[in-house]
Amino acid sequence: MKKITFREALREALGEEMKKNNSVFVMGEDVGLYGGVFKVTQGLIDTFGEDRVRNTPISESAIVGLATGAAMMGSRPVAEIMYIDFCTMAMDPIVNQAAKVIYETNGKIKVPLVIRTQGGIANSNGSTQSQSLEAWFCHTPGLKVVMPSNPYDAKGLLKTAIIDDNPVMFIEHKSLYGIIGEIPEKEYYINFGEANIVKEGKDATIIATSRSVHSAIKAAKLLEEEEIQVEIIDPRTLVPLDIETIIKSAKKTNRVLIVHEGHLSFGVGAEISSQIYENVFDFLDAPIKRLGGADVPIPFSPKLEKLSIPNAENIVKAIKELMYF
Amino acid sequence: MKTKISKDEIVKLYEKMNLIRLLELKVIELAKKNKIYGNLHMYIGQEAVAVGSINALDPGDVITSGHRGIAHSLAKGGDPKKVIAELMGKETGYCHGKAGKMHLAIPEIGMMGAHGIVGSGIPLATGMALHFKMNNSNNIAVSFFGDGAVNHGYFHEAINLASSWKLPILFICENNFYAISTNISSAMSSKNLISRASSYDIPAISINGMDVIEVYEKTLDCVKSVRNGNGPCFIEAKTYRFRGHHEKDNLMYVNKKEIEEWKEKCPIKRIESLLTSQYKFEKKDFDLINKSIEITIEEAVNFGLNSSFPEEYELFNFLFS
Repeated sequence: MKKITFREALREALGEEMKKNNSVFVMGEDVGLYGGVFKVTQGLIDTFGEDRVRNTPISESAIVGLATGAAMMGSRPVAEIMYIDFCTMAMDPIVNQAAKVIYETNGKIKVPLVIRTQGGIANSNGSTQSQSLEAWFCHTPGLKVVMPSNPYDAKGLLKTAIIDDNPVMFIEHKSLYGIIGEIPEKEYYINFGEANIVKEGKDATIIATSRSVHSAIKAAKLLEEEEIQVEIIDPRTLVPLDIETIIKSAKKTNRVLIVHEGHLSFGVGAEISSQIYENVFDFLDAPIKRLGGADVPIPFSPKLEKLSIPNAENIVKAIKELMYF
Repeated sequence: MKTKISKDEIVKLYEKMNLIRLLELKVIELAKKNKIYGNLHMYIGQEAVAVGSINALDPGDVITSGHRGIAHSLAKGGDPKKVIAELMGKETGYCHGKAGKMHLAIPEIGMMGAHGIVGSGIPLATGMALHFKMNNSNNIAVSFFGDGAVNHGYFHEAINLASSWKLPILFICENNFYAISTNISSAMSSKNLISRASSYDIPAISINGMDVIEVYEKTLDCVKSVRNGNGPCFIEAKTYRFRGHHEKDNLMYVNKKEIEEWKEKCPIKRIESLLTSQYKFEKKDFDLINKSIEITIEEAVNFGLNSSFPEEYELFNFLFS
């Protein structure tokens, strides 16, 4: 095992897959010499050259559009959209083209495309550079949606995304790039549709995504002091969703809290909650709780910004409410 | 160097244009009988553009088109049976009935898709050209789109990048002067459509889209340049649709005189004139050709009518690979 940052783990995934298969290439804004604004692609251009690490103009629709077209011909592009908020400018190639080509051609044309992007709040980046928009893509049949929360998952999932023949929205979190975790020295892949049981517990289940996983871990420590043992599940991939692991946990603990940074209303928590009710309603001892981003554009002022997303304290409070229902 | 087109090639072009014309007329008839579904956007009047230009391509070259894609599919070599079956939503269609006219794709012959969103095929074709360049291929991509698309953001982003990266793509704008009811003079800020290409440093020409031979020969020149690695080229083919934007459009925004003037320039009539005057074609020669086309279409229609719709369970097929 070795210690590595989240961004280095992503970089290793890219480097390994680009080495294995010449048709894998990277394109996006400032991904070349600059190494990407979050430094994920740093150094790749030295190894693979500017033909395979392509700096683009500010042209999100062309970044994804060209990547989609190239993928339709058999290339395996990893396109980077700098901030998930900028995906708004690429929605047609993502939603109307990449997601639909294989279905509409009844399997004849595949789109082995990865769109790497990142979202989430960090230090007052403002309402158009802090969003968590995964729900939009989960709601688009034909896209896979991946949200790694740690370096081990980041590397394994990105490698799998690159060898997957389908369009994958690979959504990173800007506040996680520097976190450190352990990964194996040897090569490994993580399957899609396999949730990670971050921590086992008997009293309540917390399902959390991306940065919220870390808030849940922090909350779990605080709750242990009050002798409440929570189980934390990180779905890792929202599409495909490992609902089996989730409902197994719900059956065991009978109390569920879902936490994500995306807006609460109509967010991914609403879908997961519905699926749990449909499957194990009889086993629940309390209604399912959801914590999500406040249903407002993300404010600038640090005090308000902090209030606009769930944190460990909110989670502790919610779990206690579940326990005493 | 100018290519001297042979009589056989002229006849081939004529046959192709007539196949498209007659098949589209049959499609309109079938739609009225509720055998073909969806909104129909016909290509009638514009046949010379698809036929002439695609005739200049190699089999391995790829194309994308807009919402009038039946013509491009047939011009590229699509089987009328599987095209009609697709329009009928049958499982024997090229896309198993899941694409229909709007998203018809025949990748086996390089027809990489018609598109329902104006402009969306342009970045895709550009990406296909990127793939060719990265793989040192001799093939090129061609993107067909209308005058409406050249004001769209996606066009500008794609053509800028195509030029910047010197990609092997030919942009063909089928300028029929109307985006639904909006005349190009009120939509496009420049007086001159090809400035849309020259502003991106791309060589561009404006041609008579009603003359299939001019379309073929000028496209061939551009194709050669693109294939030689000189970067993109742009063709504006001036043409006209004789019918509405779609079959429910009553053309209330057009001067009837204008339509009649353009009908005089019909690309099929033009070649009939040429074959008559220069190659001594007689009525019986044309009848022979048309009879053969009519039989082909009849067989295609019967094939479609006798085919089944997809099975219920196929609703969920191929969401993912």
